[in-house]
Amino acid sequence: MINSPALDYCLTPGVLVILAGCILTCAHGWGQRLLVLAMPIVALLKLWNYAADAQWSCAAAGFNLQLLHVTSAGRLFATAFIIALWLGGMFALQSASRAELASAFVYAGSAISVTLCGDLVTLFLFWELMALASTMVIWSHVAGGEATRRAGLRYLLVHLFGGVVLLAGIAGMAASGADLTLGIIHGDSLARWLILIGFLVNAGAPPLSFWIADAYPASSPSGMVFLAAFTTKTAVYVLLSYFAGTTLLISVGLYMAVYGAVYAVRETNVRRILAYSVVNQVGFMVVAVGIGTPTALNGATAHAFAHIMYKTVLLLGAGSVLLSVGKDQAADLGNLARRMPWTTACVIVGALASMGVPLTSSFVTKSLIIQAASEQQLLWSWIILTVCSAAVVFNAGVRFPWLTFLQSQQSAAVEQGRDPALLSRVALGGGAGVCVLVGVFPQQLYALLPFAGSYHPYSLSHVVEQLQLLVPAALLFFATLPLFSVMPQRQLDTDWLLRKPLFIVWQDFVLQLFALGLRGRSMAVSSFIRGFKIVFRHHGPRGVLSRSWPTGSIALWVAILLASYVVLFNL
Amino acid sequence: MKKSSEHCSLRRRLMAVLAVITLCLAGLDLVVHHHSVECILPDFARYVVLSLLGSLALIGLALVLGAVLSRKEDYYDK
Repeated sequence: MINSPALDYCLTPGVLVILAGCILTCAHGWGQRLLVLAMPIVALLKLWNYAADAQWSCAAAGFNLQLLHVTSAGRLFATAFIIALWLGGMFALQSASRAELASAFVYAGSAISVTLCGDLVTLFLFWELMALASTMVIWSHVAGGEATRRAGLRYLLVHLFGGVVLLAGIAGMAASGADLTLGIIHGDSLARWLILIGFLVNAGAPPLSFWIADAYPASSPSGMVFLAAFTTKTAVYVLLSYFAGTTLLISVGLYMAVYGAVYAVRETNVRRILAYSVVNQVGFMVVAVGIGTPTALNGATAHAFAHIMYKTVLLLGAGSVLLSVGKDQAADLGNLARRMPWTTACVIVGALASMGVPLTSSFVTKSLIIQAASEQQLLWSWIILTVCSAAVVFNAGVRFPWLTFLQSQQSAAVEQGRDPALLSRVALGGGAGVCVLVGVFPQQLYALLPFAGSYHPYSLSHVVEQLQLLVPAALLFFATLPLFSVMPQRQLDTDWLLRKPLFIVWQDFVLQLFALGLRGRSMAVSSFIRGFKIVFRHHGPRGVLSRSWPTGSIALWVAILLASYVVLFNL
Repeated sequence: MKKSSEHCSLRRRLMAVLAVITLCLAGLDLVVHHHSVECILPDFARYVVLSLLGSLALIGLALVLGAVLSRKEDYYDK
């Protein structure tokens, strides 16, 4: 029997949101709106009602499942997820299908549960639920057609692969009797590396970074808001919780930061630009986890929070454009600022926050990561992070708002552009407001970070440094603008291996083998049937040997047999 | 056509303003002292140099890779 406090702990904010998602599958009208708008608030209140070290576990299948293990980092990640869910849900009410809303809530609830659980087995259960629900978010964009279905399938394949590797690692650890509870995994065992690989797949680490830019833009305008907020950031959280200080992550994160920046420069699909920007910024967080000092881990946590907020605003903006204009290619957009003033203003705030302009969120969070690299005298990491910090101008910072709202009008479709409905405008404004609030009152965010520290981002030198990085980069952006075509194009990535050679091997070899096997089987079956018919014809009830023969014939045959015997005997 | 030329002139004006601001920001290093990693880069206008060189490297890399990796949008649909 579950007593009341147990029920209180059992119904964690994540589980509540998942239950809301289940109800949303059949809710509509006011009930649906009430759930979408109220449930994130209920979950947020519940999250902050827990004690700072609240824990609750239950035994199942021989495992001690810690459904609740509140940590400072986990609580901040969960808070960001709930806010993103609330803003995304508000926006999604305008256009999303019931299936998408329900999937998004289950997806968000799983992500929240990952940040609040206290052991690897519970984490795995919610991890896989997250993979399935996020795939449903992609597939629920029915208007995307075959392209969306295929992108969702590739996304699912990558995440199932990551899940299998993660499960193998967890099983390995369990078999060796290692502790599966929340905490840094030490040692150099194969199981540890498998778990790390499983986590990195979800972070968009190389060589599987492609899935972010492949799957996210294939989802609906509101679906991408949810997708960009949860999967990669839960990966950052689990890396931070289980692999802080693993120096390999510095190289992985630097690659991601450069990869995202380089690919975004040539990208012409505005939602794909934002997807590459996600990889770029998650790279910063992965580097910070690899550095592993208190400042770095604080930086990773704070920047994850800031990133979720400003990316939500930017994607809400991109979603509003896609909903009203029906286009997401730069060659079809431009000059929307006059037609969509509210969206443009909010997107510009989000873009400033993404670049880390003073008085916005990223200015007070990303600097912690770069400061940590500087404190550890990691020269190349510091240089690459600083350059990638300036390079945000070339993706989410200036390029995205320029191509979407400010460049000259590229097509007649733009004439249909208009700001979204009231709830969506509130979502946009709310997200932009959080970006500014975090930037203006950074100490309130710093107080919630996992490690105590004294940070003062608003020094004259830091403000000047940041502007010295951003302004020349913006100058170069405008100077080199004519070098880059806005015509739609596809950039090859490692998914090319999956989609061309492996696909050909699959089509021309594996499927042919299957077909050959099927043909062989049908031949064997038909031969068996033919043989059976022959046997039946001779030995069946009407067969030659079971017929009634006349006595004379039998006597004749017996005489022939006896004569043959006599002849053979005398030879 | 007219709108496009308007945007060209807007871009040129923006570049001029940004160039002036860049020079002013670089000049601020005469009075502002920065704390960062010891390296071969000059202390004066270090971040401006990093930004310009880094961005140029990024653009160069994107152009080179773009020539190799760019395909038509329907590449995978064929």
